[in-house]
Amino acid sequence: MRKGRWPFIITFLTPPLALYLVFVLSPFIQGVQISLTDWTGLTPTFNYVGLQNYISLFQDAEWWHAVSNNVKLLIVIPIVTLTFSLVLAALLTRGGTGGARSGLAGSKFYRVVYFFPQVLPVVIIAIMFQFIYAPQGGLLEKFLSWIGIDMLSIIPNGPLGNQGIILWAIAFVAIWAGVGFFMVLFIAGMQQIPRELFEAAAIDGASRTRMFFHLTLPLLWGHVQTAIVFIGIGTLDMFGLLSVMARNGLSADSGADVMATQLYRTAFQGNSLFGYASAMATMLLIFSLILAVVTFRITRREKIEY
Amino acid sequence: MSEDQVSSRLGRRGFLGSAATLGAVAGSPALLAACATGGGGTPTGTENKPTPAVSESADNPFGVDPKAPLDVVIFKGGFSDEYAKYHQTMYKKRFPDAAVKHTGTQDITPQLQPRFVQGSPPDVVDNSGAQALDTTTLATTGQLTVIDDRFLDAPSLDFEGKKIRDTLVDGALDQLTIEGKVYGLPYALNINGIWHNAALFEKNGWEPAKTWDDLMALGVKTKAADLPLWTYQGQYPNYMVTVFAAMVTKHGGNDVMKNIDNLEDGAWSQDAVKAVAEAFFELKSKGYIMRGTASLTHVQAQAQWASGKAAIIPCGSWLKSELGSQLPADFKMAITPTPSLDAGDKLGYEAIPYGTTESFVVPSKGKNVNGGLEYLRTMLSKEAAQKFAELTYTLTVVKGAHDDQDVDTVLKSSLDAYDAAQAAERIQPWRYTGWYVPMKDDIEGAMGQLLTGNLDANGFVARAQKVADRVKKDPKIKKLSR
Repeated sequence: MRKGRWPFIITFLTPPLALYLVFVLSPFIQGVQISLTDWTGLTPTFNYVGLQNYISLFQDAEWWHAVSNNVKLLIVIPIVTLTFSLVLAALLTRGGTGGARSGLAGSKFYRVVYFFPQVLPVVIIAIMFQFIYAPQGGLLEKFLSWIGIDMLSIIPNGPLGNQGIILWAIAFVAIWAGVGFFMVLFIAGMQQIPRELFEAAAIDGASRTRMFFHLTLPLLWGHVQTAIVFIGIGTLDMFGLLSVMARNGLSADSGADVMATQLYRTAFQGNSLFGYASAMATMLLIFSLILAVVTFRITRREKIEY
Repeated sequence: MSEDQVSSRLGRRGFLGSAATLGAVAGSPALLAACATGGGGTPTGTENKPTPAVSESADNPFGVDPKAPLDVVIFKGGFSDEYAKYHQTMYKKRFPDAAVKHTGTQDITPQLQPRFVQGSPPDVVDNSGAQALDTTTLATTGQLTVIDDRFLDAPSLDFEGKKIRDTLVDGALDQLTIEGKVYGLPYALNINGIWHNAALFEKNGWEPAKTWDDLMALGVKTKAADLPLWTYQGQYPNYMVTVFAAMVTKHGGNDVMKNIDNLEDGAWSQDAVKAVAEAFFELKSKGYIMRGTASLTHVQAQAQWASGKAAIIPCGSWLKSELGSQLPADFKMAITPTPSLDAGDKLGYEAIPYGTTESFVVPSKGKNVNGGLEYLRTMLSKEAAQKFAELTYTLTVVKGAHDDQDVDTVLKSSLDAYDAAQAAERIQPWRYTGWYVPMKDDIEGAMGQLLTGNLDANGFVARAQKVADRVKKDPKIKKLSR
């Protein structure tokens, strides 16, 4: 084996490495390169303009507005989604029943139901919620009027027409669509926890809450950590939902504009400022790397062997 | 999948996977660029004069190679692409040996941008819709064939003894004229006005408003009938910017919008702009706008109007084509100009903005540029224009093509409005919306705020001025003037 080792390794590593270089790394590098130019995206030629794009980006109030929306979403969506999915996962596994049974009655059914949104394409979800939020005859409006509340007087112009509400209306959709996936992830993790630990805790008289915080959560920490990075990066993007539900971020006077949508408009719908858009893309890349590093730092804990 | 696999899948590899997905979004301009900057770039010629393939004749004024294939890309939006297929049959009839390739799509930019960068664009593009390519940039970087005298002096296909330039309505080419040169042919002639249901108005004895005071009086009447006066395409306040700009021009004259287009200092503080902003604020503060309008899409808003939930909606003449089967049978759609603000208006009530849409361009680096021009000549024939109107209920820029056409009532209403407008001074089209897209987007947003009462007239004007100043100072955006 020793003799043929290198050719063997090279044969297996080269194709994926080449694909990765061509389709992942080189676009990133070229993106950075283009961010230093005034390229319009329509010609074969361009001029280098140094850091001019970055300087205007930092002075661009609209970009900061988009960044602040990203930050708001980054705080709210992961916390709410992961809390919900942890609670649901605990209820549907041993942890939620005090270790006595392997989940609430009908837990298999609930698992499937909660996972449903994950099966739907994001565009379908977006269009569906556009109908739900419709101010005249939408599901939400009808429901509220049935219980005697006039939606348009508490939310003027409806969720998607109100500058202060639109971001949260769409964040709700992201949470609704994401909970099921993370629930399944956490269920998988919880089922790996040996049942003896739950039984021991039950014998010691631990309440369900205590069991969750002192047994389930610590043993699940690896999964939670992965989930935070995963959802963080997904939240930094949000392009699919916002593209459909907020006209690429423009709806309600850019009330739900984020970096990804602004970047798209700048490159493809504005005055063809590809260089400028590439600077935005580079910043987005830097933000996602920072996000990943920070999350791993914050959530680092000692690994528990079991 | 075992549980072990589930958890390991979402380890570091899962992270890398999601990072790559993000990269696909974040780096999409970069991805496109991969094919752009990798190869050797050909220098950009400023103007490529097409050379005839065969000798030019009266029958074939551009010297089209009869065997050369023609590649046509059509924006398949509100007008669909049936009309284009008909135009292609006409072309094919004259050049039976030419293979005509038809593509109907809404994704103009995603499909064509790489082709422009690689230097192999199609021969004719209907560059329209939300995903249209940026014409100004294409034009100023020499990617489009200039529509010059060679084209305009060529004989018309079926208007005997007329040159092409004599078969175009006034201002037909304005929209694609950039710094004095014409870069394409806008084809559809849209009248932008205010629609009402004539049947409903007759039944209630209402009259379409000719002045703002009339409109406010009409609002009282419709309110009494429990009907909101006005709705608009809520998520797209640009429809209201169109009404706004028309009213501003009628009130203060064509120079007002011209100053705005030219980014003159303080252009948005001109009296006419302020006065119309005040009027719009009144429309909102008197409660004449249908509740919830701001969150409707254009389709939802238009459907609400067609089902009798509001009396008036602003739109262009494509409205019937867009409503399609949603239109109730007893509905009598009719279009009128925007109301005059008051008796001091500089332009008459009849003045109505007619704008051209469906921008047909002939890329200068296409393989069959002459064929592309010939295709445009075909489109400007009476036969082609009438077919377009028949299929889309919309007029074309071809002068006199529709006069003797057995027109549909909605088309007739547009034609009447257009004819009446000929008596008044023409509203010159405003251009900043195409020239400075970031400014268009921001002013559209501000218009939405004015119409939902979050900004008053002064707030709107101040914000619009701020946006204009920012665009003026931005070195990245090329400045144009008219």
